[in-house]
Amino acid sequence: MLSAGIDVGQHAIKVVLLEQNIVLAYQNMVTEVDADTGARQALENTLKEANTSFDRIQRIVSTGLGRKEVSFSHLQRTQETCAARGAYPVLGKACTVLDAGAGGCRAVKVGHGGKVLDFASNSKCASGTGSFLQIACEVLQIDLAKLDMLAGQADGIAKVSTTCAVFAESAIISNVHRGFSIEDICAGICDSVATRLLEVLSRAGIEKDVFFCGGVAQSKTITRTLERRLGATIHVPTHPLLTTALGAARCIS
Amino acid sequence: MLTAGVDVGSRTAKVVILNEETPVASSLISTGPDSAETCLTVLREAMKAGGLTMESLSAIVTTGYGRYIAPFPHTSITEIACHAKGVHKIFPTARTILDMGGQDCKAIRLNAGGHHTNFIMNDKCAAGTGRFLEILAQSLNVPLQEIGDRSLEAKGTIKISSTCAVFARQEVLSYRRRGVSLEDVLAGVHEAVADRVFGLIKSVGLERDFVITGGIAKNLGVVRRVEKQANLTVLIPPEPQFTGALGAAWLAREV
Repeated sequence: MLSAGIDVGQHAIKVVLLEQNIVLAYQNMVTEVDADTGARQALENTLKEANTSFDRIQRIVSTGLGRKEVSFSHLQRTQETCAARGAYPVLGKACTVLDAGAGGCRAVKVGHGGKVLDFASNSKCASGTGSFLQIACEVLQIDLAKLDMLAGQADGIAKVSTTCAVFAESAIISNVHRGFSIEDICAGICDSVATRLLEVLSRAGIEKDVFFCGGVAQSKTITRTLERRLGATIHVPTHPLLTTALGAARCIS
Repeated sequence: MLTAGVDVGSRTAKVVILNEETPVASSLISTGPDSAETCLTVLREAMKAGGLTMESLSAIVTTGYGRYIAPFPHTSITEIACHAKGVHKIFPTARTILDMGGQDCKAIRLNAGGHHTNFIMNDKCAAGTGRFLEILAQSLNVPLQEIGDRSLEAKGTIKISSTCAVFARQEVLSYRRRGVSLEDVLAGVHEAVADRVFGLIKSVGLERDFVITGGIAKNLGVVRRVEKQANLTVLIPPEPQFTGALGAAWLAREV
């Protein structure tokens, strides 16, 4: 059976094309157009890459913030369900899935067999999300990879707000003026995000293994900070951006 | 007796000088990166404006988030107490205050004696603060001083579902892209702020008379919408940004 999972996020649309549990092709597309048009474009691109056609797809499952705007999906599933479905088969055991994207973050406690036991989320506030990291990158005029690398080399931490991305942005600027090193400033940004993620994680319940996905999981410094503070093993997949779309493609029954 | 009230807020620093019970000088500057220096500069400017010398001051009370680091002898008192005092001196009948500043927002209840009896404050997040309006004005490319009036010219409105300024910014831009008029979008922005601050007022309980202070008191787009929700006419001091400093100067007479 050929299925497509479409994850319409705040920043990008992710598509995974799945057949007999094998990924045929995937897309991660940053889009400026409306969710429906963007999702269709991303799906078309994926189909082209897999050398197959739209009418061969038996199930299209949409998820993410914009899942309801995808007019051609057969099913809509929450990010929590899809993140759990995307992550569980990788570890094959009870775990907490932490999914942090541009528009929010969520922690899902997954029991044996992949059942969702509990979850907590933050989609009201940009603190602890990829949007905050984007703002920080714009202020410092560097990209996320650079920010992450510099943060990894820091000796100290130039702290910023963990409750508001707007206040944190002003604090980053004033940290620059106050002469903190760029490394310490970047470390402060990662620390702020990690602190907020820990709060969401602890609300959902933390298992011994944590599966970390979403765009924010691309930051090694945030991953290491979480690992250190939790004393848990954090697993980051090869394509952390695709976990939720993959999980959606698996929601076929 | 000459006293000074120094209110060092997150965005601006204000000073009021009292000669006995009469305000004789004031000043307002932007808060710089160095709060200690800001304290000194704003106080010197007020003294200069009044033709007074620092030595002639009998007492200084500092308030606001930078109140502890003033580089001169002073007593620090919370913004809540200073606002209650300042408002009480202007409007003795005031029982509820909404102070809307650059980076925080407080709802305060006070008694007939001008003492605060209850308060609630949001200083954790930019929602419902001056910063929220500033960010949205910026992304809509409208001068901050104009947004309130233009929001009142709207024919319709929009619903902003995001609490967070960062997400609201993306939301308003997508409304603009879809062709919604600037005025209607601004109406939605101001309603979002009014909803947010009215939530604070409800938690402390609203009793007449109701006063709005802080920089946003000058924004009629917010004031009118809060009035509508409260179903009351709001009182606004002639210089709403100076209320905390005025209260501080009054409290300096008692220390």
